[in-house]
Amino acid sequence: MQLQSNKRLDPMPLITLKQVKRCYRLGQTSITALSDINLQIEQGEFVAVWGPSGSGKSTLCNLIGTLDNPTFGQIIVNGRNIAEMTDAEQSDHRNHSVGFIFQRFNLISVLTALENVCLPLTLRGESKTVSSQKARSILADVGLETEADRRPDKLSGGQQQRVAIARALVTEPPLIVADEPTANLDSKTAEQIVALMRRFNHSLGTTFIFSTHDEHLLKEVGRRIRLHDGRIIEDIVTTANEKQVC
Amino acid sequence: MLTWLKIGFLNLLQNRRRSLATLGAIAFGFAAISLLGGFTDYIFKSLEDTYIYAQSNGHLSVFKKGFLEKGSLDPGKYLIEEKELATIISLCRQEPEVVLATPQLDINGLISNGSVSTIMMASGKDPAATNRIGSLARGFTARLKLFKGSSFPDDAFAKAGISQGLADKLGLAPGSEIIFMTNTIDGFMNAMDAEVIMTFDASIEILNDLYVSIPFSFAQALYETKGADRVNILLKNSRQTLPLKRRLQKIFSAQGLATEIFTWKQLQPSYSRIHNMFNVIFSFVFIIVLTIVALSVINTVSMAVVERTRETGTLRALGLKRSGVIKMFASESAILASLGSLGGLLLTVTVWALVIFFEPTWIPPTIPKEVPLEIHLVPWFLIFTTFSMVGLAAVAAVIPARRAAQMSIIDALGHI
Repeated sequence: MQLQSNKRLDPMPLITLKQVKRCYRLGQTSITALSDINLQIEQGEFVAVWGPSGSGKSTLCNLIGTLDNPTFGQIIVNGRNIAEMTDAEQSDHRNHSVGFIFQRFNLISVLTALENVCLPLTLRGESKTVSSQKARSILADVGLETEADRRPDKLSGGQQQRVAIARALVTEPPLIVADEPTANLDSKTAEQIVALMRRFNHSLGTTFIFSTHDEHLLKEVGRRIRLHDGRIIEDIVTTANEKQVC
Repeated sequence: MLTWLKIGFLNLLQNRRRSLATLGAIAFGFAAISLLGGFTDYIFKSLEDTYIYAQSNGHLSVFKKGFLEKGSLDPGKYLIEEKELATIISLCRQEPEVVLATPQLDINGLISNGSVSTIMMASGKDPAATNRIGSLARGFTARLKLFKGSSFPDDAFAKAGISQGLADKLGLAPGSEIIFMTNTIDGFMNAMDAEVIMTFDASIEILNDLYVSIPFSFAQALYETKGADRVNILLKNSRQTLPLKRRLQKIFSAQGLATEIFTWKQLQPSYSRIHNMFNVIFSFVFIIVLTIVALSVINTVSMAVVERTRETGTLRALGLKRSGVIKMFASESAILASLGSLGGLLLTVTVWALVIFFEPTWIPPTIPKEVPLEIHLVPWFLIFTTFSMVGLAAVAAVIPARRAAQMSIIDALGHI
């Protein structure tokens, strides 16, 4: 396959990956999950990372979200190499600059939807009143105003993922990383979730990077990064993104 | 903080059975420590009250310098003379913390029932002062009657209380006539008749065949002296013992009195021994209980750490620092310990109330008689136990929580 790239040339990209490689040790053997990754993500992009299982999608999302560190290469965020950050600095960075949406929603089961959405704000020491206000507002935006006091086990999969989106958005981060956010949802709900993310991408200018192996969900994205065996084999900016960028 | 406490509390509720088992271990541990502590406090207070009030020795005793080391060899030389005695008592009574100051004179000699004689040790105390000290006793000591027969009238002179072993040896009972034979201060033989008005069990078995209680004036008459070998001082409050000892020492020195003052603890070495013994027993139990509680908490938190690995990964992804993970599990453990301590407190109060209701009795080491068994509720000790439990639980949680904090976020998120 031919590698295609169509990137904007901003002086300060949101994230830059240079020669990134990620290996895992499994017993005595070393497995290369990602190799030779060079990538720039600009503010406001809506990016899908796609490819078959084991292609390195989740690893790439984890590295971009600073949940993991590269074995080799650099990931530059706000001019800083994340490998040079301490663990506490990376935690602060995640809390202030990155929102996460997980495949299995990862809501705290003992907390209500509202409390789950409040969590990132609680972590940064925001007062309960302010947190609740912001969380209620964002829950209303994702259409779950009436479900705020329900616990995750009382919500459907689609509702849980919308709570997760609200939780990712509540801190108004410049970047949201979603690892297979639709994998546990039926196709209709999956489309709704992608549409919801796209809506926030348009309205708030938040950069979304999500991984998927479902080609049907790619029609709405502005940029597709295709992975195969840990390498980028295609990086296309589509008209959908051009529309948003313009 | 409230969110973390809420998460902790709700997680505890989610694993009710396990939480209850740990809570039970903490509650029983708390109760074991606080009940033993309460019993130990009762023992210490009883020892103190028995010596100070029941045996009328007071908090402080003033001796002529050197009496305790050499007084038995040359009693006359180390007696507090009449004038000094009056000065000491007068100076003591000027102190607002002093309830009373009373002289005492201990003598040795022979006691006879008219046909058989045997050696005796007599303690001569002022009956009026003794009765007053007894009336100020607190707790069960106030109700304690350590003798058979009648107490000394305030103006008693030729009367005696005889230890039971001695009474048995000489065939004496209240109402019997006896003869005391002693050497006077000047070395002459003296003999005086007296009436037995009471018998009692001496506090130490070895004294039970020797010990006699007589009025101070009678002891003076037997020794042919106007002096005393000590002045016992009763204070309003035990906490004033050491400060007043220091102050009186200065006052007596300023008056040119060659005296030395001892506290009741110094004069009762058995108190320190019993105190130390109970401290060792208590420390032993305390360590065992804390170890059980710590292991129980570590086990509970370890299981929680494993079960909530993905939750920990999620929180770390949202920005929770490693230290935050440790704090989260530690605060959860502290909640468990707080609830366990509350349960332990209720258990302690229940046992305390049952002891008051059923009034069990026992024979303690220093009182040869059945006395009520008590368990004291000591507020500072209960607070100390609570803080120990909560602190220990929080620290014990750190061990498994550190493991969770060190885990890679990716591994934690991938945990099923």
